[in-house]
Amino acid sequence: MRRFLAVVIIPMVLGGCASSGGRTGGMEGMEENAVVHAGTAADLEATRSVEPIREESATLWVNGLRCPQCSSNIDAQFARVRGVDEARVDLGTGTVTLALSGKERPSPRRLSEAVLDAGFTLVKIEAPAVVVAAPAPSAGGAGVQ
Amino acid sequence: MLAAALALAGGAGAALAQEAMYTAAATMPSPGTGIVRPQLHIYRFGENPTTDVESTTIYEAETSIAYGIARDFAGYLVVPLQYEVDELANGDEDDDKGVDDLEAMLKWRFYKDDSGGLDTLRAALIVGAAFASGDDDDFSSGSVNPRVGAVVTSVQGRHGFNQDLSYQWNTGGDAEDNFGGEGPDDAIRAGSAYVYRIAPVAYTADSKGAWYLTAEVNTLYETGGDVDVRFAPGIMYEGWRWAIEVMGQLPIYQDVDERPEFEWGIGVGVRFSF
Repeated sequence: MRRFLAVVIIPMVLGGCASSGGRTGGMEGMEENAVVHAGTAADLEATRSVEPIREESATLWVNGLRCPQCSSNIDAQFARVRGVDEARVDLGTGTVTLALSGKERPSPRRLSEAVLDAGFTLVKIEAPAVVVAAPAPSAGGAGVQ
Repeated sequence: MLAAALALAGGAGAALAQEAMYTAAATMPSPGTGIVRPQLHIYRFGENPTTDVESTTIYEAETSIAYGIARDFAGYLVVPLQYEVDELANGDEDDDKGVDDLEAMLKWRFYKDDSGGLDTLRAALIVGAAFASGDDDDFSSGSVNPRVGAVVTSVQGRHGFNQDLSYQWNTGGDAEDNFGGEGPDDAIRAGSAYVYRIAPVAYTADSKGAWYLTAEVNTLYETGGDVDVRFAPGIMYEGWRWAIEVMGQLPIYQDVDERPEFEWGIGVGVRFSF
């Protein structure tokens, strides 16, 4: 068992170093695509709205879009959401742009659920009605419909 | 370090990209989607201490299917077809083909922290079994061998790291057909994989694929005392709905008394999302 512990612990230690180094942002190449989305409390609240989005597009700020094939999960999940015509993933900015149409529109909560199903984390939704509405529903007449 | 120590994991088959060939990852298909992952492996082994076989070459066509059952919950089935060529001590050759033990696994991702656009830390438990394929005992163990494990995946920008660890209770199998983890002794597997995105350096709005270099260290410890540590360098291209990967495998430490020593291996695989 001692031999096993030796050969297992070494890779784990090496791995731990790599992992913790990455978390602190000290690894070479980290400056590329160093996208960190941090939504406000209002942004988070807006993603929970159950009111349909009446705009024709919405931009979703998503964390965890780490690789192309992983991100194809996004396509698959949004294909099942009524009112979503197209989902375009931009790995460079960590965003997903949705084309919306039809009478039945998705709510921010429904979009958030789709992102979670895909395995990622929705930080913020940018659709005029959603962004303005969440913190102050009556502001500017652009509240959640 | 803490993450890696907690890490641990599966040994079994497929998931998604940012995953190397021989080490599991805490990734999985989303609900209602899947990944088919056919792989061709060639393994070369030396003299078998329990028979008159001087060397063995195993050609394995392994197909794994992963399917998203629910959010953070996926099932895996692995089917390994094998063609084995033995070179005997008297100079003759013997060959045989069959189906090795099948593997059925469930993976539950119990932790996820997406800290940035590309960055994530995830952990998953893997539970399942390698079980009799119905083939004769030259290939299949003829038994049900439960396995439990865990895996941690960390991706930070261009750097990905996977650490897995698993324990398999072997309830059957025999020493002379054991090429690692298939004998009567229980098997403990640990894999560490580093996956580095070499291109593109930075994703853009038009990025639809990526090249990765991979390096793995995979350890197999059998409770009879045999230890086998392998290094596997490789390269992988990943598109939006598919990926292709090529890996080599070399021994870096072996202390095996009850089965043949591993000499080298290569693997080629593809992955398709559906």
